[in-house]
Parts: sequence; structure tokens; C-alpha cells
Amino acid sequence: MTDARKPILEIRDVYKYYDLKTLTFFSRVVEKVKAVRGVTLKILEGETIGLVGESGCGKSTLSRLIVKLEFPLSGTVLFQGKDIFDSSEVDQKLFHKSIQLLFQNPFTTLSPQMTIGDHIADVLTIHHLVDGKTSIRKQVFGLLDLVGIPRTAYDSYPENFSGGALQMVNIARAMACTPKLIISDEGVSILDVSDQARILNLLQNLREKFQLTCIIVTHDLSVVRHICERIAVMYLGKIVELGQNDEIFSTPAHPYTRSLIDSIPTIRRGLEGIMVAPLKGEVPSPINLPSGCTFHPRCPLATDVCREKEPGFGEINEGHSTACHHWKEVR
Amino acid sequence: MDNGLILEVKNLRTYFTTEGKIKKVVDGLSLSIKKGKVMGLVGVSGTGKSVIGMSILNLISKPGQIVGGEVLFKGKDLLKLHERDLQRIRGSDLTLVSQDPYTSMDPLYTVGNQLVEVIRAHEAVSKKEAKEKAIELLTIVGIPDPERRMLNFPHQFSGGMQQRIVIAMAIASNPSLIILDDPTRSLDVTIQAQILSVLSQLQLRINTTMLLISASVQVVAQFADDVMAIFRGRCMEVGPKQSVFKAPCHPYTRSLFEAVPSIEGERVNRLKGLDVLHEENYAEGCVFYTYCNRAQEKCVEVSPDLVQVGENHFCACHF
Amino acid sequence: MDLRAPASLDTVSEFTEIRRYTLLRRTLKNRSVQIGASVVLFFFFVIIFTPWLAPYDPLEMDVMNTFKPPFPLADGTVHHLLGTDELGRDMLSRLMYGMRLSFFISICSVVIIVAFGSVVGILAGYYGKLTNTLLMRLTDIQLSFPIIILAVAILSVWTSTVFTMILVLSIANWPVYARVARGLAITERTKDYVASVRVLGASNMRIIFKYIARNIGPSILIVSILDLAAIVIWEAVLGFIGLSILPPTPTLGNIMGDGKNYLASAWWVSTLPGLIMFFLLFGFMLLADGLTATTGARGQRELALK
Repeated sequence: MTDARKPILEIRDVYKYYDLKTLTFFSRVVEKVKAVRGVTLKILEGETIGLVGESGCGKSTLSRLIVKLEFPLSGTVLFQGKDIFDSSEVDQKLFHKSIQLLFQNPFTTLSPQMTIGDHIADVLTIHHLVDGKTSIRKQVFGLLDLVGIPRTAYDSYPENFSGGALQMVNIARAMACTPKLIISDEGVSILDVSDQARILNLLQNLREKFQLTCIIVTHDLSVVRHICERIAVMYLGKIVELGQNDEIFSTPAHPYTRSLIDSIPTIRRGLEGIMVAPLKGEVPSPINLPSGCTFHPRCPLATDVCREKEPGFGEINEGHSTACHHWKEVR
Repeated sequence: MDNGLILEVKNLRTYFTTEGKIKKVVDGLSLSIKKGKVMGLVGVSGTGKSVIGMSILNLISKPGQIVGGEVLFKGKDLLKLHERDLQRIRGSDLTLVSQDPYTSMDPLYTVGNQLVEVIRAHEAVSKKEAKEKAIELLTIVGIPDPERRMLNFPHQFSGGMQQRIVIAMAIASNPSLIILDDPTRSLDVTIQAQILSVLSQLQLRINTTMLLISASVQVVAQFADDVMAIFRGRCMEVGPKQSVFKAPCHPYTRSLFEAVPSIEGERVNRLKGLDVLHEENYAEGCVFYTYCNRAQEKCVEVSPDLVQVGENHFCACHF
Repeated sequence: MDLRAPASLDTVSEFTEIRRYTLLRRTLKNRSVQIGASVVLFFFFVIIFTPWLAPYDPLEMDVMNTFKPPFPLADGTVHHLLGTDELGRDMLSRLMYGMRLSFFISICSVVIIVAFGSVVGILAGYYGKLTNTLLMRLTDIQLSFPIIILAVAILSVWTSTVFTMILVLSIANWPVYARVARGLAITERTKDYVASVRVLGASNMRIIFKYIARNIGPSILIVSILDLAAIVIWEAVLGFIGLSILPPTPTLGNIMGDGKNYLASAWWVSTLPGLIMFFLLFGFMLLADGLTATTGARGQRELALK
């Protein structure tokens, strides 16, 4: 079953390195933090795709690249067919209107000196979506209603609200631009379960109502299990597995994915006394990457070829790709 | 301590006073932990779980104050002890592992140094013996190459490693009780799994009694023997893990479990969450009234007591 | 939607009211603020009502009564509460008019330097790189000129008037604000709320003036409160060496300057202005300190510049 939807976002072979300057007494060393190393991904219009990985895997950098908060070293990103980094092709404001990012920390993403209403109204002003003074208030009310925040919040300041509520305000801000694509960069990670559930439900509702495309960037597989159609797993700057939700969970084709699934504590496992099976070792520093397949030091299936040769990213089934020499052995 | 209970908290009440208003953060909480068992405290954020932990250690300072109750640690009421005696107990017989490992350590001393200090503070051993014990502890918690890494400073370790070191420091004195306040909150999933694994191995090996506080239901499910659901500083439900998870009685506990996205089983399209936007204070009634979908008249007026619903399983609900 | 209908709607607004109200209350309860504000208000009261409060015309000379010391005893009559100067003019009145003028100069200067310096600073801090280098080199050049030399240079060309004094003091002091604002802007620009609104499409100008400025405003305001007092003192310094406004128009500075020849005999002429400035500074510092403590905005000490 091929997906008939067209790609709305195309990431082509994007690289992003950061310079890390350390001054020692004798010399100035510049090391490169290889945050993103050749990521290629097509995101289809209207889909919800999850980008999963732990800290240091580059997923946050990738999301920042997509919204142009950062610029890539090489590679291109096409939004609706146009290169976003080519300023002649894409109008800056229009671009920002179409792609929105939900940040991780709802407390620091709002200015403490402005009211909730101010924040949302400002977005409308930026994009000239307002028609008359009284209309601003009404439009903001409309947005507050959309996300489920009481209208009285208009005149309140961020300090009075919980993380979950603030995140909903951020969603209201993002929706004010009527975007086509929303990226949630760990948008629910610091919230607790019930707030997470609310936000995720809200995103789903909005997605259905407005035909949004969603990229859910997170380290929590259980979140993507529920709302994503496709899942991409990242490790140290590369995508190591990509596939449909059910397939990834039932037949993962990369040992890292397997470990991620096994590492999550669940109620069922707890009740049955099955302890989580942790992956050994730590995530290596993105400055000095291991040779060959960067996962080999921690991989239970690693062999010599893994140390020497970096596996290519290839399709093993329709819609399911992986980068592993021994993918067949992954349970 | 004859009844085998390491910790017995009776009717603990901790109130915070800000700008003239009193907030009853912990209001009449009782719990008990038997020797060798792990009690898990679970609840949404802001319900006072951390405060409970701090109250047990009698570490509450302004604007908070412990206004009532008893905290019997091996029979002695910690709330009535003199600060000097408390200091002797804290850090040796009753230790704490908190959320952020980096702030639990001194950044200016090597890890080995700090461990040795803790060991020697509670045992009369020579430096050499303490060093050996430190290496042993680091091995137990899974730090590779302990002899060499002892000479490193805290900032030279990753978050997961730091937390392991903090755990090592917490068990160094052979404490009777360890309180863990959301120890895996700031860690990645795979590292969290490592820490949980370390803790469970410790349990098997040394049979420590632990109080695990966590906002994550799954972590508690993985690890605790008994579970208590806390809401607004009060116990909503308590009982052995199997009983509470299989047959949750309180609507709060139910919604907590239902909100947890699970990676197993069928994909559920909608998760259920609590509506925790506003604060209402019904002085007399059940604290959960505003959010409850089974609330009735009675719930506004009378605060429910704990009612037995199963073996050792209690629930604070009229139904 | 799956979400339940929200509970009571009034609670949130109430919350805000209480929060704002208590911030004000807390500020007013703070001891430093109380004392400081009292001192400052007292001075402002005197300055505003000087024409009605001053017992004599500050320019009126009374050659018969020169060099009378303060609080004359013996004959019981108190004609001149604070004495007279070498031309028989009443000290109290002169001091009051002097404070008035000194303050006027100070306020004007502060307004100019805050406006100008902050803008320069924010732009330098926000844009960085070239803008930063250019603007900062400018301030460096500025700072390398000691104020005295600057004053001499300017005032040897133009005669001292209120305008030139304001000019001199402004030129000498604006770099401080540039530095302060720049530092604050650098801290703010990396914060999440800036990134967040940039992704929402805000232009740089909007970010600077609507978001960053609002957040660093309180800190700058508190620094400027202190500067009000500091610039009065600068004027006094210039006045003491004769570079301020020429007599007979009194300013705190030139009163001190007048009296410097008679320090041993008529000590009060120079000392009294000094004493006033001491209390002034004291009051303003307390106020600024208290405000820093209660509102949490960063104050002079943390910014550690002057």
C-alpha cells in the first residue's frame, strides 16, 4: 500500500557541525561537534511522524534547522518544493507562518512581562491577520477556546499557570499562524502524564481539524506509539531506522530500536516482575565518534564488520528502512 | 522497631504560608514501610510528593513548616529530635537521592574523595580501607574502571554516571532507609533503565528499604513493592503493587493509569488526562472532587477516610 | 473534544490580582524601600516647592551679614538657619535653589543617556559582530576621556550654561548604559522566549523593542535611579573646580566651589552641599537596593560597572 500523499517537507542529506573552541594555555583547539550527519527524510503532507532518539542524537538540531533557527553546513531542505535556505525563493514571513515549532520548556518560552492575550495577539499582528481593534480580542478568544483555555487567561501573566496550561498557550500561539506543519520538540517531555495526555489529544484534534502535518520529536517511544503513523529513530546524528509504527514495534530492524523498546518501564512488565533490560554503556560524544557503525560499542550484535564499515541506510521492506549490517538478527 | 517497620509516618501535616495564605501541601498523610520493602509514591507533579520526602527528613524550612504528625524512624520520632541528632541520622542511616545528581555532589572534590569522606564519617576505618570500599561501591553501581575514575571530578561524568555515584554515596553508610526523589527524572530512557537496573540489583543484594517518589507510574510499577497514590498531599489509595495496578479503586488512580501511554498492546487513539488547570479549595470535602467523574453531593461535604478494599489495600473514596 | 469543560473561570483572574497587589505591598514593606523612598520624596518635595519654601531670594546680597554661621545662638533670633556666604546670601535658600538646578540637570542628563545608551547597547548586544564592534569601540573611545578633561575641553569653548552642563554630563555617562544594556541584551537574546517568537515570525525590531526591552527595562530603571544621584555628584565635582554654571546662579556644585576658599573659616559653605549629597546618595541607594531585592531585577551591584 503506497502512500498517495505528496511530500510537504524534504530533508536532503543535511549536515550540521558545531565548532567547539577550547582554549588551552598553549593552543586553541577547535573541535567539531557532529550533530547531524547526513539526514535524508521525506515527510508527507498530513502525516504524523515521530522522530525518536536520546540526547545527543541530533533530533533537536534537526528541528531547529527545519524552522531556520540554524543553518546547515550542507544539504537542502525543501518545503513545498522550495529551498527554504534560498532567501529569494521563500518569503521569510510566509515561511514562518507555515511551519511552527513547539519548544520543550513552556516556562521559558513566554516573556514574563506580557500577558497571555498579548502573546497570542502579537502573533496575529506579526502576520497581519487582524482586522480592527475589537477583533484582536475576539480572535484571541477564538484561539483560547480552540485549545481549551478559559478566556479569563487573556489578562493573566504566565507565572500563574502550570506547565501544561502554558504549553497549550504555546499551541494557541502556533495555531494563530494557521501553519501547515507543526514540530513538537520534546513538547510534552517535562509535563506529567495527565498533562501529556491533554496536549497529545489536543494535537490530534487540531491535526484532524486543520489537516496539519506533525513531527513529534521525543525520546519517549511510548508517546510516538500512540499518535505517530511513521517513526524515525535517530542515533548520533543519523537516522538508523524508519518505518510504519506497527512494524517498528513488532519487528524492529535495528538493535538500538530494540533496546529502546526494551528499556521502557511499563506497568505490565512491573507487574510480571520483568526488569527493564538496559543498554550498556553511554552515548559517545558527538565529537569523537566511534569508527564504522557508531552504535557498535554498545551493540549486542556487533561484529568486526560493524567496527570497520558504516552500514548504509537501505529499504528492507516497503516503507521500512534501516542502517544495520545484522538487521535480520534483531528479534 | 519491633513491628518490623523501618518507617512509620502518622498523620503528617506540612503547611506552607505565603503572603498570608496557608497552603496545606501535606495534610494528614500516613504511611509505613516494612524492612526490606520498597514503597512507591506516585502522583502528578505539584501534589507534594517531594515535600513528603523532605518532611520525613525534617528538612522543611520557611515558608513551610511541619505542623503536625509523627515520623517514626526505627521507633524514634524524627520531628521531635534535636537538630544535632538529626544530622547524625541523616546521611548515614537515612539517606537521600535527589533529582539532580550534580547538585548532590561537591564540584570541587574528586568523586573518590567524597566517597571516602562519607565512608569514614560512619565507620572507623583507615583511609586505605575506605578507598577499597569506595572502589567496591563504584563497582556495585556499575562505574567502569573505578580505580581510575575515582580521581575524576563530578563534572567529568555524564548524568547517568553522576546519579550512580550519588547512589553509591547513599548506600556507603549502610543506611536503614533510602529516600529517592524522582531519581531518573532528568535522564534519558536507556540511562534510566540502567539506573533502575542498578537499583533493583541493589535491592536483591543488600535488601535495602526504600521510599521511591516518582511522577512516573511506570517507574514505580517496575520497582516498588507497595504503591501509594498521592493527590494534594493526601493519600488516595495505597496497597501492594499487584492489587493497586490490577484493581485500582480510586478514580484518581484510575485516571493516572489510563493516562499512561503504553508501548504494548493495541494502539489507543485517545489518552485520558486530568483537568488540572485551576485550584479549588473545598475545605471539608474530598480533595479530588473537582476532577472526579463520579462525584456526588456527599463528596463536597465529607472528606473520605481510608477504606479497606482488599488485602492491605486501602482507598480514600466514598465509593 | 475530549477535554472536559474547564472549571471555575474566575479563579485565574483573581490569582493575577493578588499577585500584583502583593508585589506592591512587598515592595512597600521593604525597609530599604521605605527609608530610601522617604528620603527621595523629601528631596523632591523640597525641590518642587522651593519657590514657596525658601526664606530668601538666593541672589539677594546682604553685605552687613556676611559669613554668618549656621544656627546662630546668643541673640536667639534665627535669621539664617544655615548661615550666609561671603556675600551675605542665605545659605538655605541658595541650597534649595541649587538642588533644584542640580537635579534638573541630572534628570535631563539621565533621560538622555538612558535613552541613547540603552538603544545603542541593545542593538550592539542583539546583533553582535560588526555592530557590536563598532558601537563598543565608540564607547571605549568615549570612556577613555576622563570627564574632567572633557568638561574642560567643551567648556573652554562654550560658556557653562544648563545646556552645556547637560551636554557634558550626558556625553560622559552614556557609555555605561550602553555597556549595561548590551550585557543584558546578550543574556536575553539566547533565551527561549526570543527563539520562540522568532520562529513565530517576529522581525528583529519587534523582538528588540517588544520582548527584550521589556525584560531588561526594570534593571535599567534601577540603575538609572542610582545615576540620578550620581550625576548630581558629578555636577558638584565640576562645580567645585569651577567648571559648572557660573555664579550667581546657585547649583550644589558652584556653592561648594565658592566656599572652597574659606574652608577653614566659613566651613559651612562647602560642607553643607556635601552633606546634602551624602543623604541624597544614601536615599537613592537604599531605594535602588530595596527595589532590586523585591522585584528581582538586576541592580547596580550585579552589573558591577561604575
